[in-house]
Amino acid sequence: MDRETSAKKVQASGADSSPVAELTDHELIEATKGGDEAAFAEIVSRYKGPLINFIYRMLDDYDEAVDLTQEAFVRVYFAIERYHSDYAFSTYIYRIASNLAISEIRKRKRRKLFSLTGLFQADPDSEEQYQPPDSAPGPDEETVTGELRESIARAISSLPDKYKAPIVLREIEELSYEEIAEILGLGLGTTKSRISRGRAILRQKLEGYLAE
Amino acid sequence: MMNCEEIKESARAGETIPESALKHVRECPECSRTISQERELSGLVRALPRVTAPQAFDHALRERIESRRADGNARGFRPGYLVPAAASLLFVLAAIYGFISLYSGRDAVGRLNVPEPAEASRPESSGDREPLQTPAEDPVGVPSDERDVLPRSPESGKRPSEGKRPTSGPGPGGGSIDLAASEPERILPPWMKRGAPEGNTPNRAEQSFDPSEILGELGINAVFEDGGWKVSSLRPKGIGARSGIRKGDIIKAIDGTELGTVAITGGAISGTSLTVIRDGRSMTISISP
Repeated sequence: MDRETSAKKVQASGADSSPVAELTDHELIEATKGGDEAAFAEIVSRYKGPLINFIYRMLDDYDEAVDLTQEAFVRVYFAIERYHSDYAFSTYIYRIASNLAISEIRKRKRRKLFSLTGLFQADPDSEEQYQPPDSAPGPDEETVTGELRESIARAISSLPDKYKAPIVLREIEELSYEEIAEILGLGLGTTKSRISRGRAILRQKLEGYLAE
Repeated sequence: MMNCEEIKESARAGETIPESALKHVRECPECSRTISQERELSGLVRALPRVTAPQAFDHALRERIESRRADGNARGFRPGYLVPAAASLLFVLAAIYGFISLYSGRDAVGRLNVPEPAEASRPESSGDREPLQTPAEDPVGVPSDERDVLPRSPESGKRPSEGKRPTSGPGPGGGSIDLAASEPERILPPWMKRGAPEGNTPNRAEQSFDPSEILGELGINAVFEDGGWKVSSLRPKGIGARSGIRKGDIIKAIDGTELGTVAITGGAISGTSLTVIRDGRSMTISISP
């Protein structure tokens, strides 16, 4: 569908409030650029679930995952004029989310380092000590607790950073290698090799749960 | 047609096995076992429950967007970033300028870094010496370092016209000209700075350096053979290694000055390039300090 057709469709959607659910991502972006808040709400509706899950498995922290997912949408919203449809929108928004998650992981490592070296701990009982990641389950997870799931989640979140995002995008989000390569800005070969290596580490960590 | 290794590698990377390989997989117990193990791992990971967004997600997002819009910070222009960004830029520029000044033998305001003559620090030591002119008296703006070495006409007391460099011949007044003092000095770069006793800093340009010492400063171990210094080893991350010198290179010259077996004076080189024979071809390699 060319851009003109897309624009007409967007106008129609604005005029008679036809469901935006039928529009493609790019059409929704164009509509949002034109001030159609419903189009943006539809984008949020499509991607909030995948993004929360992606970031949640990266950080093993539900509240932070929600917060960073919102931040990703805020950034998309305010940078929407600069968005070009050269790539799939999903690639674009996953890349934002990935950068936010990686940035948060680094911040936590720094905080942990400071905490361990005692630089910020004049008072050992201070409330400003480093708080370990919240591993409490999300609201819909009450029924899925258990040693196995905790072990899997822990195994994923403890993967080295360079393997974590590829593994989560592949195994949790089930994206293609090509999409993952674009999101992470890696070559296809590197992406495959990181997934392969990440899976090997996971296999080691979870060997107790796998059949011989 | 994929072989066993390719099939197993593909399975370990979580790839879908192509249909064309399935017949082999059914007949190959090893491939079949690997694929089964990898599928089990994928199944385990994918069994993790999916979380959902909290009910207030959309509302909170709208509020966040409105709040960001109200702050006026959202659409790219953030004045708060400008001050640290400008400070960082200035710092980097100052560092580069300082480095260039140091490397070229000039201080931060462009004056030559040569030692002042002893008399210059004692303005009233000689009665027949003219007092130094202040900038107001000297609108031409000749650097103070050069004032006392520029000849003056005995009749007018004027200096040669600006832009003309003094030559090595006799000046208008018949006196000789100190060429070394009137031209920028070729001094050694910081990496070849040799320590000197405090209060007795020699002119580095007058020092002599053994070629192996110079190469040693560059992190290059070399032996003299075939008319040049053949590199036997390089200090990892040394200047030589960073500049692209390789083991086996034959270093013939520094700044065009041939590196033989006798010492060379520091003033002859500025330490910016090496002439090297590599694989029978001569090349010039810039030194990256």
